[in-house]
Amino acid sequence: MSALLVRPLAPQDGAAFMALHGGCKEHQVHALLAGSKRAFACATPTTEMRVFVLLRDDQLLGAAGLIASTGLELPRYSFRSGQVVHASAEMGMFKRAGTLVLGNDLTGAAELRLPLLAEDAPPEALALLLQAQLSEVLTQPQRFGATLICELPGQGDGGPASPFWQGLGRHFYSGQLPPDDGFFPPALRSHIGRLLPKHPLYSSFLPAAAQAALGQSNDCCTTLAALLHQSGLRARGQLNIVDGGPVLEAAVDELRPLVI
Amino acid sequence: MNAPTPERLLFRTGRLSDLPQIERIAAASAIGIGSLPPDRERLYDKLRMSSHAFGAEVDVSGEEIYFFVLEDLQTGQLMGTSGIAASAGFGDRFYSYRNELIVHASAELGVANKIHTLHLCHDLTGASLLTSFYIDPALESGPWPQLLSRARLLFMAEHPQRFASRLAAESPGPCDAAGHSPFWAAVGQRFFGIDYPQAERLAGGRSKSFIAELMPQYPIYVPLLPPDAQLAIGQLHESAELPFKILLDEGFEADTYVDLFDAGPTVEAPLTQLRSLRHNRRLRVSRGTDEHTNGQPCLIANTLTQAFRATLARLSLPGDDEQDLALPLELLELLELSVGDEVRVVPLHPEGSPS
Repeated sequence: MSALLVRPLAPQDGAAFMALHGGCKEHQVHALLAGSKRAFACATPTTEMRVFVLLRDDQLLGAAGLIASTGLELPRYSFRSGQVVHASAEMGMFKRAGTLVLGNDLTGAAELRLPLLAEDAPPEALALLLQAQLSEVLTQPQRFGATLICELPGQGDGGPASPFWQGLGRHFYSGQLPPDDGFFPPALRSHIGRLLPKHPLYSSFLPAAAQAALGQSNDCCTTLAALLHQSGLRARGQLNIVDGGPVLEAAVDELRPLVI
Repeated sequence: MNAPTPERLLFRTGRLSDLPQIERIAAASAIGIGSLPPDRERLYDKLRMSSHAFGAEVDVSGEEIYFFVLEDLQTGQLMGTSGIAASAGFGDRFYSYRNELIVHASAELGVANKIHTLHLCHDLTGASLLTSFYIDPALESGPWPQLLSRARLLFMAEHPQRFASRLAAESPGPCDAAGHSPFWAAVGQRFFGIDYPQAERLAGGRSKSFIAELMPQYPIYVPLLPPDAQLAIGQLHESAELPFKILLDEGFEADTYVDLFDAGPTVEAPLTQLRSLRHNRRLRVSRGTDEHTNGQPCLIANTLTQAFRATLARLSLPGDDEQDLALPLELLELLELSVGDEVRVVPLHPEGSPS
C-alpha cells in the first residue's frame, strides 16, 4: 500500500489536473499554477488561490483550493437569511417573516473551495485534502482572513434546475447560468449578483419549493459537511445566491484542526 | 330596466337627516377602499363630522371631511354620495405603494433589466382626498356622475384654504364578490394569514395606517409575485371604472401610486391643474327665463359653504369679457341664489368636444 501525499500543485501536475477537472483549458491550468505558487509564498492575505493536490505514487487523485481573502477583486455576493417580526398586541398578531438580504458579507474571508476527487480516490482523500487546507490556515493565520468559509452546493443542479434559482434568480437574470464546478472561483457569480435585488426580500414571497431549499445543502456533500462541522464550521445564515445552499463559517481563531 | 332619467338632480351637502338613506346606499356600495362603511354609527359620525366641517371657519386643511349627496328632487331619493377628506392620513400617515423601476445592469453580461418595484411611502400624506363616490346604477350612463364627482372640485375652487394644494383619490382594485383580492392574497395575506375583509374587521374602526404598519415595509419586487397579483397592480375593480374615468378626464395622473392592500390605482394631481379648476368661471347671476337654458351643458354651483349646492343645466355663457349670467327662476331657487350673487360654472364637456 503506497502512501497518500498532499502537496501544493506543481508544474508537472498540469496534464493530470486537466484530466481530473475534465473541462479546464491549458491556459487556465497555467494561470492556476502561477497563482497558486504566488499565493503560497505570499505573507499577507491574497486573493489568489492556493491549490493542494493529493497523490498516490505519482497519480493525481484530488485537488482543493484555498483562497486567503475572497471577494477583493470582484464583489462576492451572498444572501443573508434573517427575520423580521410584525406584531400588534391590539390585533392579536405576531408574525415572524423570513428575510433575505443580498450583501457582500463574505468579503475578505478565507475560503475553502470544493475539492475535485478522482473516481478511484480512496475514502480518506477528502479528509486529507481538508486537513492540509485547515493546517495551512491554522499554522499561519496572519496570512488569511479572520473568518474561514465554505460555500456548499444547494438543492438541485447548482444551476437552472435549482428550485431556489427558479423561484428567485431567474426573474433577474434570464441568460445562461454558467456551470459551477465549485473549484474555480466563479467570476460570473459576481456579475449575476449585481443583477439580483438589493433591497431585502421576504422569503415568504418565494414559491414553496424555493423556500424549502433555503440553506439546504446538496446530498452530494454530506461527507464534506460533516468534516467541516467537525472543524468548527457552522451555517450562520449566509446563502449561495444561485441555489440557496448554505455557507459554513468559523472564526479562524476558533477553528479546530481536523483529526483523522 | 333603467329608471327614466330624472329631470333635475341636486348636488348638496349631506345632513344628519340623510342618515337612513345613506345607510341604504352604504349597504349597496361595493366592498373596497374608500367606500362607505355599512355601519350606522360610523356613518352617523361621518355625517356629524361633515356638518361640523361645513359650519366651521377653516383656514388650513385638517381633519375635516366634507360629505355630499345627490338628491332626486322629484322623489326626495338620494341617488349618490361623494366626499372629500381635507387631509389624507390626518394626524398619522397615509400609506401608498409607489411604482418604481430599478435598472439592474451588468456590463459583463450585457444585461440591463428594468425591474418593477413597489415602494411603501407616505408621499400623499396631507393631500386632500376625494372619497365616498357612489351613484345609483340607473344614473351611471348619463351626465349625473360628472356632477356628483366634479361639483366637489367647484367646492374646492371656491374654498381653497380648506384644502391642500395636492389632491388624490383611491380606487378599489380587482376583487371577487367575497372581497378576495389577488394582490392582497400575494402580499398582505402572507403577513396576516387572513383575507382583507377580515383584516379590516380585526382593525375595527382603526385607521388604515394601523394595518399598514404591519405590512411589508421593504420594497416589493413585482416579478416575484404570482402572475394574477402582478396583473392586478394598477387595475380597477369594475365598479370603479366610471368614477376613475371622470378623474382621468379631469387631468389626474394614475401611474405613480397604488393602494397598499388591493393595488388599485391612487390618482393624484395638483389641485390647480384639474380641468374644472382651470376652466370654471365665477359669474354674477341675473334673472332670466327658460330661454337662457338652451346653451351648452354646464356644471353650476353656488359659492356658499354649508348651503353649497350644484346642478347641471344648459347655459348660455357670456363672452370672456362679460360676467353676467341670466338664470331662470327655477335655477335661482334651486341653488338658493339671489340676483347679484355669484356662481361657479364649468362646461360639462371639454372645449371642442361634442356637447
